[in-house]
Amino acid sequence: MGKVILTIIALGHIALAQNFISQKSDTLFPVESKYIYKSIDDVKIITSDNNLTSLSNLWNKKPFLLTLIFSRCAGICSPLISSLKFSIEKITGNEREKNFYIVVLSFDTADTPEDMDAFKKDLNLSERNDWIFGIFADKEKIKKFTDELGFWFNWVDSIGQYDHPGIVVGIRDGKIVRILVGGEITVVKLREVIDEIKGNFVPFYEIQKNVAFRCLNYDPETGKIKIGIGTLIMFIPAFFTFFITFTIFIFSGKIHKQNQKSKTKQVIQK
Amino acid sequence: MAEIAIKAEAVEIEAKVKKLTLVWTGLTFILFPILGLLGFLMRLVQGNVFPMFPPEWFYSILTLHGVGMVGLWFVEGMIAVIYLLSKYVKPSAGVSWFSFTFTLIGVALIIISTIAGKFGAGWYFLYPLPYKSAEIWPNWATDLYLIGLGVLGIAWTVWVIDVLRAIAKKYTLNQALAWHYLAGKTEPELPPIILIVTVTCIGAITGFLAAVALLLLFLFDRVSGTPADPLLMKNLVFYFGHVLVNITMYLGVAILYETLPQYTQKPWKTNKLVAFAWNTVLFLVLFAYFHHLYMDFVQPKAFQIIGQFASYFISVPAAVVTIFSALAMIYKTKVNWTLGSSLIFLGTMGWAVGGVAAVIDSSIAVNFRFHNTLWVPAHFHTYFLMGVVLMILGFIYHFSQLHSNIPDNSKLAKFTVWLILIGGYGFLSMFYTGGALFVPRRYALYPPALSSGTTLAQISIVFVSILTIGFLLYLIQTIRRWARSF
Ligand code: HEM
Ligand SMILES: [Cu+2]
Repeated sequence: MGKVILTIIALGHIALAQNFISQKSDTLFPVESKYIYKSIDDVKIITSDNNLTSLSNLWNKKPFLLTLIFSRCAGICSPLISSLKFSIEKITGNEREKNFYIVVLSFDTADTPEDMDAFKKDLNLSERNDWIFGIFADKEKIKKFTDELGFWFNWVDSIGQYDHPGIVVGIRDGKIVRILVGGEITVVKLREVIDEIKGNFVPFYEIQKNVAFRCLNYDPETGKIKIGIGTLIMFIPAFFTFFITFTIFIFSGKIHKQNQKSKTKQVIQK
Repeated sequence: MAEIAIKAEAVEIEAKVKKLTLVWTGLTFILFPILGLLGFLMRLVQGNVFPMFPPEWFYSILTLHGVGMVGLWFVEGMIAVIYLLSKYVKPSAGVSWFSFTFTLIGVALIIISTIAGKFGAGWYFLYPLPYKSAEIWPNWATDLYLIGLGVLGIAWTVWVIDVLRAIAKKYTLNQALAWHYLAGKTEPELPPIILIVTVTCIGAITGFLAAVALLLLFLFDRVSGTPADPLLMKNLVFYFGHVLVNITMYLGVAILYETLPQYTQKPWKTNKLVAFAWNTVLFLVLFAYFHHLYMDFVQPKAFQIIGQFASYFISVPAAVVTIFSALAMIYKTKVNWTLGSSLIFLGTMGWAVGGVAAVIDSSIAVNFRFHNTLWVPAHFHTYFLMGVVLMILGFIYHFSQLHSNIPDNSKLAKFTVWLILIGGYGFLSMFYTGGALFVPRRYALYPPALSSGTTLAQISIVFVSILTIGFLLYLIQTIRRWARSF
């Protein structure tokens, strides 16, 4: 009994410690678990082609990936969008019309729809309707909106730039489904997020560990599953059973016939 | 001259088989009360009668009770069937003795593992728990448990292969599987017990081979340190576990087909329907176990669907054919109801009730709710405790009475049967109610949120007490006759 309690307490400690670490690191990157399934604010936005719309208008049509940038950024913003674009194309292939949007919003009050249009062009995305670039229609709401995603930005005078993390948030029906952080969006992670915003259950994920005789081999790059040697192992018992059964019946049958023959011989001799 | 020699041989075999059966069945009189009382103890703990009972003890008892009962009734089913089969074919007595010795060794290892080593991963030792005990039990306890199972596996594989060999000596494979009946012929005549036992032994071999693969993978993990794929391990363990439990029931049914006619004076013959039903079982026996993996979402979807349909089709023909034939046997017939024949017949009915509960739970939509609730012990205790156990206990009485010539005390027999029925079904209904209320299985003490589990366990204690008295009376009547049979 004592041991059980000790184990539980020990596990609890580890969990608490982890919580503690994560709370600290939250100052740099938002921690997904703190924000998951929370609703985001339904703000009005002005798109790069000067349309006034709202986020709910978008999420009522399709789920979307949301990212926050500013157009003058000399740091993470362009590489982030480029890697996002690269990974999305890798996942969805040549699909022109996707079943989700990618919403790129500027948190910089100085950005205009024209700035965003130029930014979109720079990235060779101007033809793509599923990529929506825009600014907040109501500048007052930016702070509250970003706070609720765990996103932050600080103006740094010395370099004339905002300091901010890179995040991509998966939104379905106005709720946060996943948050990816960092400047590089990998295909593997993004595939899961895209599946989840579409409401698909993600049964597989990448594991680093070496596992012997896997039933299924999952390729996280392509999302494909291949039958592994483990599945074949499941058929071995049946295979051997056939073999054993036939052997028994063939051999016993033969011996039986021989015995019968010799018995009849004996009887005849007698 | 030759004829006399053959008769002498038959008498000699009968003496040999009789002795074998006496010794094997004697094991029941020791193990069944112990394992049953462990079950009683678990219900007491769950009813909060001993609030200070260490949970890790509960789990080692749970494991011993589970594996012990599953193993015990398999071997008793085997020996009963071997005794009944020896009228037609000649399984080797030597192999049965070999199996007996190794079974005792395996049982001893498992008892040491669970009692001294506190191994408590549950009877089907789901990977990777056995070697990740959070220091509740040491790794050597797991080693012993797995070695014990390995020893049993070897003993029993040899045993079933020998029974098949005996059948193969007289019948070809398609005769033993009654394929000529499917083709519309009735010659040569095949006693149903041969068909059922053939199907059972072939099934047993696959199940035991799956266990071999599983144990080798455990060994690989233990030696190399490379973890095995839990999905593969779970598939293999239920392949083995499901098959073992199911073939034990088939052994019970084989007993029914062979013994019931002796009490009704009507022959029970193989026909096209019987042949069809048991061939379906043979064909599907490998696929039904998928119903244990419905919650494993990485399992290929096709397997899940196959699992559901295999579960339906494997149980329905065999059960329906058997139950209707059994009812037809006793319908408008003067049946000689002894303690033996009553238990065998009621066991068949329990098999039916448990089967229905099992089929309900093997529907994917239902399993989403009932998975690992008390519904699970409810259904398998129905077809085991009130099913095959009654059939085998009925057989042991039948056998002992036959050889002791002590007449049946029908009043006492009736009273015994009623106690077992009331106690047994009362006990089961508490499990079923728990399942319907979604109380999870395998809790030593129910937390406040599951207090209905505690209440049900408390009511259960009354019924288990009645059941215990019933079994006690059974044992008194049977052991008396058994002892006189030597
Ligand atoms: C004699 C009367 C019996 C009583 C009072 C009894 C009682 C119990 C109890 C209380 C449990 C734990 C249920 C839970 O998960 O909460 C259990 C589990 C189990 N019982 Fe019985 N039982 C009896 C007979 C049998 C029989 C005849 C079998 C035949 C195979 C059997 C096989 C099992 C198995 C396999 C488990 C599950 C073990 C596990 O979860 O690893 N029991 N039993
Ligand atoms: Cu099963």
